[in-house]
Amino acid sequence: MILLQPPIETIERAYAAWLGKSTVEPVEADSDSELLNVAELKAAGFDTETLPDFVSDAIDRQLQARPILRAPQVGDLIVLAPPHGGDECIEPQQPVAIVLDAPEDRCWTGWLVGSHIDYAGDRDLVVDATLLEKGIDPVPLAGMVMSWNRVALRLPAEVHVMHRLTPQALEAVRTLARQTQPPETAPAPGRMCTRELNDQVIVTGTPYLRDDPRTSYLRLTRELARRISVPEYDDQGAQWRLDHGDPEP
Amino acid sequence: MTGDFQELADLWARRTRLSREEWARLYLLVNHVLTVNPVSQERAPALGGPAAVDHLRQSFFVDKVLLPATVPDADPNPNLTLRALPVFYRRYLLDQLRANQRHKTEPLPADDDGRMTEHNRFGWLGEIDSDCECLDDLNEVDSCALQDSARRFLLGEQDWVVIYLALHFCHGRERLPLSRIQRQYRIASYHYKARELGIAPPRGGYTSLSQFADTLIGRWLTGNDIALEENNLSVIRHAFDLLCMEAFSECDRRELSEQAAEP
Repeated sequence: MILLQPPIETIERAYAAWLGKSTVEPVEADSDSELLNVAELKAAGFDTETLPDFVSDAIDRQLQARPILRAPQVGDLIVLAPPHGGDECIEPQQPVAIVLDAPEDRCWTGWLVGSHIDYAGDRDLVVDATLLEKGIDPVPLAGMVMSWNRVALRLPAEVHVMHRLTPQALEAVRTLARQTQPPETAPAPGRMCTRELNDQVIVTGTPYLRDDPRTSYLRLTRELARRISVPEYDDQGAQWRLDHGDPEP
Repeated sequence: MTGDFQELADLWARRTRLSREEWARLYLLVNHVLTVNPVSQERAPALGGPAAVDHLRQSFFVDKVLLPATVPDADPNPNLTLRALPVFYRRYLLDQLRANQRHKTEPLPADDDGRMTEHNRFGWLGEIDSDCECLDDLNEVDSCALQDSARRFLLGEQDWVVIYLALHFCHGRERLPLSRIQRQYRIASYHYKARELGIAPPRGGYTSLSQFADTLIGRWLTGNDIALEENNLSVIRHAFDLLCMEAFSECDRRELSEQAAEP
């Protein structure tokens, strides 16, 4: 079995603020006895060519698709900032990305976008440049559109848009969302496969096994979608989170 | 607090708006902090030992520093303390160790950073420079038919397949890194394609040869009745040699090397 990366504990910690979990305990303030050795903190060189390919590629992808603040549109791949952690130094929290499907009443519906494609299942559409309007590689955050993981949320008048899916890609997500029969591909956690859908070749993960190692990721991201969707109430009936930014009236 | 740390803290606080040069600088500084303040779990044998350190740090940087820094001016964690980075890193490594224990898998390959840039040609199949193995098995291989098959395979594939094979996979120590190939040839989704072809193992590596069967090269091998089994490595290597010869020819025929030299 391939070791799925990153481990589920790392992912859970990255979304902890969204999920209301307390696994992001702040790092204690520095004390004299625990000061880092900063005397040697002088980077030897400053040559971007020395960056490893893996890091360099991720940086390039992030930079070439900086979010643009504008009104949301169908097919947009938007990003939501994580809840604020206050002034303490907590572990970095991951933003949540969403593909917008349609405006409904005062909400937008859409699908959660995951960044951890090792965990892709057969209804997760793996994002690549061919699915995006500008034809550029997706940011590392935008790994796969979870067609099974629907969200409904209120958005401010302007949102941070990173990419926009092509009409064909959006239709592929909708078709995948309606698909109830798994493909004939054998289950293989951590692997992807190419499939033909609507006369288009797409990439997805594979069906789930019994006791599949991806199950915990599935549960976690379902809970995440529930948390960011409206309405959301805590156990005492109090509203936990309703709007992302300033809501439209 | 020294000026050095001040620079790191400043870059950290602004990391949703950094330029490429600033990201490179932040990577160097983060790496340096982790070097001068080592975390013991980093060299755990279960994670691949000292040889895996670079890979772990790179993954940490992408997963925990770069990836959260996507939304401008919405950083929930702008303040970096001196102790924070090694603490974040230790938690990250402990997660890796837990996952390893849970899955009871082999340790991460020391040289796996998600692609093959530092691999030998047949990295996961063994050292290309190792002593020649017994080739008795090759008596059962029709090399001419196999070479014809390789030629037909490449004729039916797009340029990127030929480029990846001729300029990277088959090119030994002088191969071009995939990222450079991507820049020069503008190959979209270049890393995914490398995986699809079979020249970039997934994170964690292939755990067995049979997992290679879903790649383009794997399917070509099995389509020629070459079993993806450990005891068949000499035949697989021979097939790779023939595939590479044809890749070089096809690369020349399509004049792809010349395209790389153009600005």
